[in-house]
Amino acid sequence: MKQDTRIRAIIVDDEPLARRGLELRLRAFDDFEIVAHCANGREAIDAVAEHAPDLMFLDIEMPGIDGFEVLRRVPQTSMPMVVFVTAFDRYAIEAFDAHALDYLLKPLVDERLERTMVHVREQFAQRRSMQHREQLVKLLATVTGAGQLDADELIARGAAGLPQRFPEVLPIRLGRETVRLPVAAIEWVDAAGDYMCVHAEGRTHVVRATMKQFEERLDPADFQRIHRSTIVNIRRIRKLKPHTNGEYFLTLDGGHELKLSRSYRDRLERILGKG
Amino acid sequence: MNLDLLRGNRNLLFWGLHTLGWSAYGFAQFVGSAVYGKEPGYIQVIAIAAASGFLLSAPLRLLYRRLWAAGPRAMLIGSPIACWVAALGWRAIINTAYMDIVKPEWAEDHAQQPLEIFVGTLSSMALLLCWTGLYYGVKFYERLQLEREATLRQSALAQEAQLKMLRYQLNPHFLFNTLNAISTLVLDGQNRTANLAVSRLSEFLRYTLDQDPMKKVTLRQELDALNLYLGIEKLRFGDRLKLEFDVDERAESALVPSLLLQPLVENAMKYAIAPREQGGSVTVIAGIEGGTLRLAVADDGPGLPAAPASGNGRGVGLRNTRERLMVLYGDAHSVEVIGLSPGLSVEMRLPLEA
Repeated sequence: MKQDTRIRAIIVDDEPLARRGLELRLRAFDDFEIVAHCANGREAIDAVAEHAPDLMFLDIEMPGIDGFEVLRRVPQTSMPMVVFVTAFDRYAIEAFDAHALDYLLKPLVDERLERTMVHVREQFAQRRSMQHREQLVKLLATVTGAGQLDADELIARGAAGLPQRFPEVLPIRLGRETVRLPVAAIEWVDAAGDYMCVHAEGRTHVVRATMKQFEERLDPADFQRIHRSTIVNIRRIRKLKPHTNGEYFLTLDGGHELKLSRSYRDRLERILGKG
Repeated sequence: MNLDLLRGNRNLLFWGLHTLGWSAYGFAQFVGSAVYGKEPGYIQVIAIAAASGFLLSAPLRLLYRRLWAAGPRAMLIGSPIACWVAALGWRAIINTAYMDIVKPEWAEDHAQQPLEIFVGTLSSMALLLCWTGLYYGVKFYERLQLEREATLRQSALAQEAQLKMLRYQLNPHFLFNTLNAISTLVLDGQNRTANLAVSRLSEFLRYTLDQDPMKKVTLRQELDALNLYLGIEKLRFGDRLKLEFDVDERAESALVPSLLLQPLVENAMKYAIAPREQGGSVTVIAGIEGGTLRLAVADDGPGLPAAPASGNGRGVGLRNTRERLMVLYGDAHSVEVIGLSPGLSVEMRLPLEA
């Protein structure tokens, strides 16, 4: 058995017997390894940060933080492949189908699980994780809605003589509501396809915007790009840990871990001087 | 003429019929007088008789309303007396008109004789009694219509409740999660537990499918069914679900609508156990207080939302229960939602039936 090619998976479900069922069935696949069992969304987010798994079996209906909320809160760069597991949720299944994401229905059927595992192996081999993440964020935008930067308010604030280029408040319009998000509260922002996930105060706002738009709006003195798809609030960084190939892991004060990729190593000095 | 409008507006109906009746009276008298060749001034007397009858009988409506409300005996005694009094007044007016207009000399012969007054009054009274009969007849017909509508509405409500119950029985989330848990038990070689779960599930399904939601069962039967359901939930939720029963033995033989408690317990599971990482406890209480059966399902969950959220799922489940009890018991029951700290209790008081 080649230890290094095993696909490392976590199982997230609030029912012990449901977790046990998956575990027993996964024993038949010896290229898979279960690294953690999680009984709720909170444990799942912690397990992703701790184990950086390749695959997550995710139940939708869970106490506290549900399956979709887990997707919102996990940093995009550490997002594993996700296979949804649900007993009955017509609406969610339609959304999975629409975004070509894999899901299993309870009670589990062995043949269906086998097909899923073939699919997961293919994805894993081709390292199509970026595409997968974009699909996940599009799913979130479908299921929970996506906001938009409120251009009118940004312009109005500029006209009122306030610093136009770097506003202190980011107005995000979601339907008829506008959330006014204090820029200082933003922990990090990550991109997936046509969407940006703004993580702030334990919540995630999915916004239809580009990386460029955010880089223009956020003051570089506080916000730095650390990855092709991540901007971080420097003041929130608590820990910096070197990784292989010149990569670094940054831990935020909320406990989330973000990856700093090699091409952004030159930003390190700026980061080290702050916070 | 729009009949529905008449039926809806009771004043319009009354005055319409009242006018029609007295016009018919006047017309009949007129035809009669023409046929028998009465004196020329007689037509004026007829007009005065019809108009005064119209005015004198109208106030009877106010009196009859009270008599109708007071019951049949008051109606049977009060109505003829009222008729006689009104008839006396009416007769006096007619006689006076007759004397003044047609035959002034008639007064000396008849008018002041008690027998004439008595007989004349009796004939007038007969007419007013007819008026009375028609009045009560219409009123009675109206009441019958209302009662029929109420019965129809009740059976519609009952059917609706039945449909809702059907949805409860086939809660797909519960069913699929349970089947998934059983499948795990089999894979895991826990055959005895798996077998127990299958028999509980099938017994519970049979109970829910067999029951007519308008039928009553003993509380013992209802609790047994509830235990089947809770046994399965316990298997799924493990330590996160704690159960407590506080049931007075004397209450066990009391009759309750079947599957009354299960939806409430399911609600508690959904809002107080499933969403909380640490789980919680559900308490089922049954006791007798005087002539009433007191049932309660309590949990230690988050309770009611601080602000009354619109379309709260828990509210919908409770409304079904309220509707069912309303159909079965009318005003003889009560359902109360009591906020505990922490948690929520749904308390029901039903008439004690054994």
